[in-house]
Amino acid sequence: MTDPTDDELELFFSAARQTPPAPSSDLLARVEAQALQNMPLPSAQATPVQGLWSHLLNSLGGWGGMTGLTAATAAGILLGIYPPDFLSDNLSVLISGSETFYIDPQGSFGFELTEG
Amino acid sequence: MPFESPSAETDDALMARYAHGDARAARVLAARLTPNVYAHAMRVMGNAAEAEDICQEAMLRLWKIAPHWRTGDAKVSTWLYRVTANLCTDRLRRRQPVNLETIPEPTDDTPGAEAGLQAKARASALHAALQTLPERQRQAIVLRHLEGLGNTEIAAIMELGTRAVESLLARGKRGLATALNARKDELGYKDD
Repeated sequence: MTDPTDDELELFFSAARQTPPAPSSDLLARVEAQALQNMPLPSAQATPVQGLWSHLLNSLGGWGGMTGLTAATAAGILLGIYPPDFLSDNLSVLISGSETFYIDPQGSFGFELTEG
Repeated sequence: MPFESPSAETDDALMARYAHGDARAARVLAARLTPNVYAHAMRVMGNAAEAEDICQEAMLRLWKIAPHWRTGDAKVSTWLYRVTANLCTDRLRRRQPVNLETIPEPTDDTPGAEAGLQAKARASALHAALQTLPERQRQAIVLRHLEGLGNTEIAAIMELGTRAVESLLARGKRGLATALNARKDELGYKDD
């Protein structure tokens, strides 16, 4: 008697593929419970993935803080380019940076500070 | 095809979501992966209680590695098959040698029965014949001919070269043929 050929063996493989051993519902429930029990907490994952940009954004107060900072910067640049008329001449010159100013720390303002 | 699931999300994507605490991803992964892990363990071990233990252990290792899983390094299914195969190997090495008398007989061995019953008898006979093979040959045969994997993936799972896999498969098939030969008339080799 000869051994089964590849084609004949395939009949057995095919029959076995049609009826794969199936896990019991109890096993499926245990595996799912195990998955949930070992699942990392959502908060535990937030810290390690925080990048430099996120860190910077948070330190500036989030998107709200970043918006305020951007608006203030834009306003400062506009004031520098187009100083309004009501600013004093000295202040305008100070903003434009075209002259050098000297501040005397022993002047009257400084004296007021030391005398209280 | 192994590890099929109706969900469109890849195993990698689900692993990432699981690692971020997504309970739905946990349920989808468990439902998708457990049947194949169990089927592989059952076919190799031939014992439901041991297959269940191995399945739970393999899945537990998956949950534990999830936070460290790096997408693209390996397929989740390949990794899981490798863990399952290794757990089976460990168990089989601790076992006593197989006593052929203890291998279960087919539940229906009526020759010439209707096609469904004959298929069942053949599946049962194959299951018994598989248990007579050396462990590595059995793993290779199960992965190739019952799980439907390619030789390259089997090589990755068994940590062998593809030529070694081919050799295991050839020897395994010869062993199966010899084991099944005794029941050739009873089971019928023509698909009738």
